[in-house]
Amino acid sequence: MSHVSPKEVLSHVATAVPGACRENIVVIGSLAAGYHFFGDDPSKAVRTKDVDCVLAPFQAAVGAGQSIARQLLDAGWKRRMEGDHQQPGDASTPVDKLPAVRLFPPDVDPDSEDAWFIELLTVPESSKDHGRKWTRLPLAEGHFGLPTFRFISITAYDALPADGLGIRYARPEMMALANLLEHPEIKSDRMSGLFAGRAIKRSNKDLGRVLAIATLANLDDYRPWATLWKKALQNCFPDEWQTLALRVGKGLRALLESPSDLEEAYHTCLNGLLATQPPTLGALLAAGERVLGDTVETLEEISKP
Amino acid sequence: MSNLQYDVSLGNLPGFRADAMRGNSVFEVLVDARDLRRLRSSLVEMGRVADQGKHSILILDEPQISNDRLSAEWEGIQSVFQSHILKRLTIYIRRDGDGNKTLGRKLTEEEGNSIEEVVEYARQLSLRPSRRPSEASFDILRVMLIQWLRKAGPVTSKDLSQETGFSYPTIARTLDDLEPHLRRHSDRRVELQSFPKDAWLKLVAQIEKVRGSRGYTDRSGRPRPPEALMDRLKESSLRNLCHNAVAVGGTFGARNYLPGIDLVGNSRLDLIVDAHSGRGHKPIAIDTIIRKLDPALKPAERGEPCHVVVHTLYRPKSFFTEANDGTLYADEVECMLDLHEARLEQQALEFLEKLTPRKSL
Repeated sequence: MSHVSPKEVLSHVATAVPGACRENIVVIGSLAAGYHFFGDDPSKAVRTKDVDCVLAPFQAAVGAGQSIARQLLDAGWKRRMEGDHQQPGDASTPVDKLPAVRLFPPDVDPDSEDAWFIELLTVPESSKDHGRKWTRLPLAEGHFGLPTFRFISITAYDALPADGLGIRYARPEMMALANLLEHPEIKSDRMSGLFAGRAIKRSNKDLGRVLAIATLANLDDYRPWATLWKKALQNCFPDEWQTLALRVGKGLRALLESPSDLEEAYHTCLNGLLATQPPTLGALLAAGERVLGDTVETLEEISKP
Repeated sequence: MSNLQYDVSLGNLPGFRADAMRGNSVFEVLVDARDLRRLRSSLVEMGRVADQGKHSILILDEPQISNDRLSAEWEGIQSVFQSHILKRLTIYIRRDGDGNKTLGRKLTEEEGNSIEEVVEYARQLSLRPSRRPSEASFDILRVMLIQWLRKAGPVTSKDLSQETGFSYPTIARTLDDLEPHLRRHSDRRVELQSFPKDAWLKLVAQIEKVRGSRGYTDRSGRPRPPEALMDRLKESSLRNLCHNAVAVGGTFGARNYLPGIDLVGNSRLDLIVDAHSGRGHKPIAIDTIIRKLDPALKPAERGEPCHVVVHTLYRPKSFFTEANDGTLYADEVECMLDLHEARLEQQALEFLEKLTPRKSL
């Protein structure tokens, strides 16, 4: 994985995309968290390769996606040719067989240590959409797809402006919520590639992200997150926010009760968001307990029917 | 629906106090039962309760006796008790994780819903050290010191008995020991006239045992500042949990009584629980309070630095004081003991000197 400076990468992305589309971009993932917590500290970096850019709102996603991809490709950004469905499709290609838009900057060697690429995603069209969905994105090179996941809308909720760049980035607490919602249990499926040399359960990596965010936030009081979470759930899932709120903590509870899963999550933190400021396992556990006790339990209390 | 009452005496069963009662249901808990003789004795007692027409429920909380052995005991009493008693008798075996088991009469929904609360109450009672006569002198000394520091004037033995819960002979013995520092009035009231240093040092030497202190620690390396914990304690949701039976001591308390005391910051939060006010009421859920203060706090091992310490007061009168913002503070003597426990000896001395009544010229 690459060591990248969150501030430099966000600045690079914002400069490269068309000005008119910047307001439609919300950067999510570890880079967004890094930018929020230590964007001003040049000594700290994030270990990541992908810069996930969510295009929102959904109605503007295809138009913005086309403009952004066009401008980047014309400027020499190179497609990342890995994984299934590398070749662009056409109008007859099923939408879930289309490649995603993943582009390396022109001055980056894809094989280098510090290589990173942007990936375009979008928010779900409807709060009723479950699982991974694709939206067709026709370009001159062929048809591509914008992937979305059910809880991406949470990450785009009330996103924060990146200083003077015109783009926005996800609130760390909203990324934590999205990960908690995505994993109400520790699922057995593992990530497709190795994570710093180890096969890791996807749930442990994503729930580990929650612990990393809580560790970086280092708050004396995590209860204000509960109020924000409730608002986001009500906004994004008006019909089922209470059900979702009452199950938010299930996966995290399971993680904290399972030493082997917690250790995997710890491994992802040490080799990811917390690489330049590694905590002890005890500190990570405490951060999880504080999120559970302060935020999750408060959310459960204020969400009861 | 009737409310749970705790520590209930049954009029026609002298000497027996049930752990709890709701309507016609009487609950008795054996925590961590491992002794068959104790079990049989409790069964006989609960049989007497059932004979009074009550539903008599004996809860075995995490017994160290196997379910097979308990079932055999249950079979054994079938020939001992009359059928009208057996019809009103239940043994409820409560085991975390392994499922619960009921022998005898089935519980109603209301009775079943009461089990956890009653068990929690009984667990807390079982944690309280019994008050030993040898420690009576410390309790009486502490009350005498409070009266002295507060310039409350002389008190009678009856006052002391009511405030400490000890008998007249015990109080008389302790007062004899304090004689050199005592002023006896013609109406038999007494008060301290100087600080009983030797008795105090004996108390300080046994401080943790006398106060039933329990520490909680943060092992994350990122403890919440005691000030943040204190702010939480002042919130109404936590105050409601405290039932006016939890007060703040330590450095926070010392500053309340002596704002100018030479203290820099706060190394920990000391809480003093008035155990006596808990008798007969819903138990103070101290573990819940600790979790609300900081979910990452864990019970400390011996010698581990503590971020919160909970002390228990067993006497009938707490002498808590209420600040303008509604915060309850432990008395001056508890605060001074907290300073000693926290190794703030210099500050404890300053606290004592500044609060010591000046003799009039």
